[in-house]
Amino acid sequence: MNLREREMDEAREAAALRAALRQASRDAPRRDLWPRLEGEVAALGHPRRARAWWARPLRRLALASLSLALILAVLLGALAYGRPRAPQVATGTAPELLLALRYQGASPLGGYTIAARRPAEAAGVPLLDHATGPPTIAPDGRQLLFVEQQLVGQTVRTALVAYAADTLARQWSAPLGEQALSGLDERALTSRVVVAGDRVYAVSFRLGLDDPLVVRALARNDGVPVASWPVATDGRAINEVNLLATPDEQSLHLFVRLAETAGSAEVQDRHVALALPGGGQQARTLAGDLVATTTLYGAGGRIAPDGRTFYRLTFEGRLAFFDLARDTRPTLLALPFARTASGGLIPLAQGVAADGTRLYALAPTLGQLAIVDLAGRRVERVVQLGGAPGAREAGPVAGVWSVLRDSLAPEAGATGNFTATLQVSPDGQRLYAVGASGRDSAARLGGVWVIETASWRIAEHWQAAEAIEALLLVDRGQGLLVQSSGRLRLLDTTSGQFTSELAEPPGLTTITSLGELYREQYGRALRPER
Amino acid sequence: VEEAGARAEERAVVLACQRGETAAFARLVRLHQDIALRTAYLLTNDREGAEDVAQLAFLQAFRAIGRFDPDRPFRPWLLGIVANEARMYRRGRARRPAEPLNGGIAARDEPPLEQAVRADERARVRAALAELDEPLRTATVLHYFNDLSIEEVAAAQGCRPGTVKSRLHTARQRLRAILVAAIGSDR
Repeated sequence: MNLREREMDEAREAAALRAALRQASRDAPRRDLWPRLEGEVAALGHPRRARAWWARPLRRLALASLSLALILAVLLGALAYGRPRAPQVATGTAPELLLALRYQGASPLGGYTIAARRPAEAAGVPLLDHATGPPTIAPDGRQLLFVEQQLVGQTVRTALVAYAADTLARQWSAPLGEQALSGLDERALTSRVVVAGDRVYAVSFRLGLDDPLVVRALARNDGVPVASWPVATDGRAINEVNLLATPDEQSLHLFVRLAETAGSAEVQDRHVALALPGGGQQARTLAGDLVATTTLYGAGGRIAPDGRTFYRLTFEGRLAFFDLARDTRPTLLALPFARTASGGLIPLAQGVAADGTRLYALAPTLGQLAIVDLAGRRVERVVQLGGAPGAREAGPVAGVWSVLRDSLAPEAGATGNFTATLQVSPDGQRLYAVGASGRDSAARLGGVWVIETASWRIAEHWQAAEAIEALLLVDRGQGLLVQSSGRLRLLDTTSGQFTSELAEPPGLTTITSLGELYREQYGRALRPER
Repeated sequence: VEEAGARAEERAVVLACQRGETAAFARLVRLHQDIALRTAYLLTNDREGAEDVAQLAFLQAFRAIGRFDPDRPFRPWLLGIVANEARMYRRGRARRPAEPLNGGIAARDEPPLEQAVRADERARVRAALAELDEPLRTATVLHYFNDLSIEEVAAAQGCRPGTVKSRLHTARQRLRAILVAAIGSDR
């Protein structure tokens, strides 16, 4: 069964499941809950109105003290950080390499098989059978670190495995932990891995348990443990962890979400800064609602080249910023697109400039692109992209063909969220994105847009017969790998023509490159090796 | 336009709740109680429990509404609370036995035999759902029944989107196996 047939089967199964659940919910009680709730809500009162007579002056005093402390902290912070610092960011170098990930749905361990290959090569090199996801790439681009699981009897052993990025030789493996297979679904050991300097740092946790939280440092050359730093959790259950290293590789930043008990709705988020190489910690409890603090954990969060701004574009099109030196809560900034299709979610693709100072967020159905100054933590501007999609297909015959193809081709619906990456050419002069045709709810995603950054217009719209799932720039920007409907084809970025088709591993879940991984993890470009 | 209007109205209602207007909260309860009860029922497989869970979830929502961002849709947030309350309820009741297969309530507009067959099918689906581990069940109901996106489910469950995808995959596999086994045992 090929990928497309499998996806259709899954879609049919999902539709059947939706229908079955709708039916199964029909026997639910139907009752007006408000009469029962009214008394209890009234008894709860409103927090702002239900305080004792002495609470308000006491609160004012506390607020005044807190404000004074904050002003002092801001002044001290401004003295320490006020001057703009030149980013001390070294760019990594690595060979152009593709990584193909295939989900192991039939295995009790799950996970992915991973194979590596150069774009021009027909066959790949199998690397691992049960990786938990794509690897962490070292800041110098020289090493790949995978988290791998192995089943030994009924025990799952999790290990960190290092590969050389150039030779793909397995360098070392270091144990991270082990657990019973029966606990894997609910309480799988999850690890976060970063590389800084000559060390690899790893932290592992099991969701909802009060296991000790320890940041472990391993030597990069042989995986031997060199340090171990416990992080205080006060015996609380761990719900989520994120670990990042600053671009200067001088410090680590750990976010942890703690719950009073497993499953408790009351959670607390903490930020722990660890100075390297000593591991000295500065911890603080974060404020803000769950919506804001959740942005600190999702995929795609990273530290800007200034070394102090954590940022993440959320799926609903808001930018979360968190100043690692002084913020106690993330700030959410809505991207000010001129209008939205339905007031709700819009398809969105994101990419970063090669030097990592700017983020581009494209809303293809609106034909708008937001340019974000990451160091300034502000939206520089939103441009309406010029150039009519499909303009290259001049002439009545081409026009009719375009309309026919639009109506016949199975294109992706544009109403859902869309997380494809915007590909930025190495010289920064072109952006490649999955484009859209039509407007608002009638818009459909399809074809490739080539956006010129000098004029902010869509210079080319290369049509494709199938829905495009992913784009990946390869060959120093000369080629664009297009994944669609179970096919993997190479498109020449000079001519806009498909030049070859790559044999796709059966059941391919996703394909990525070292360059793409680097952009995702560090928010800047990797220099390809000659 | 209608959707944008509804969102604006919901935002105004949430802001009123945050100012302490209980009438506004009554409006939120009446707007969302049906979906909250259905979700709670799927998660607990217990009609009485579903009412308790939905009620507790609304009380939790009222307590926490001051921290809720009014620019966000209310429904996914509420359903996350419902899922959490359902989990606490099931833990508290130490896996109270699921309702019997014939425990469903049939629709009145069907002939008796079809009523019985359909009620049995619905109960079978709920029983299969109850067999799933809690994170798998919650992810399944929030995504496939409530149409929450993967990211919204991840936010509700306090995990990464990749974990939700993996949970949904595993849940579908298990449901398939449970239902196939149940049908097989009938033959």
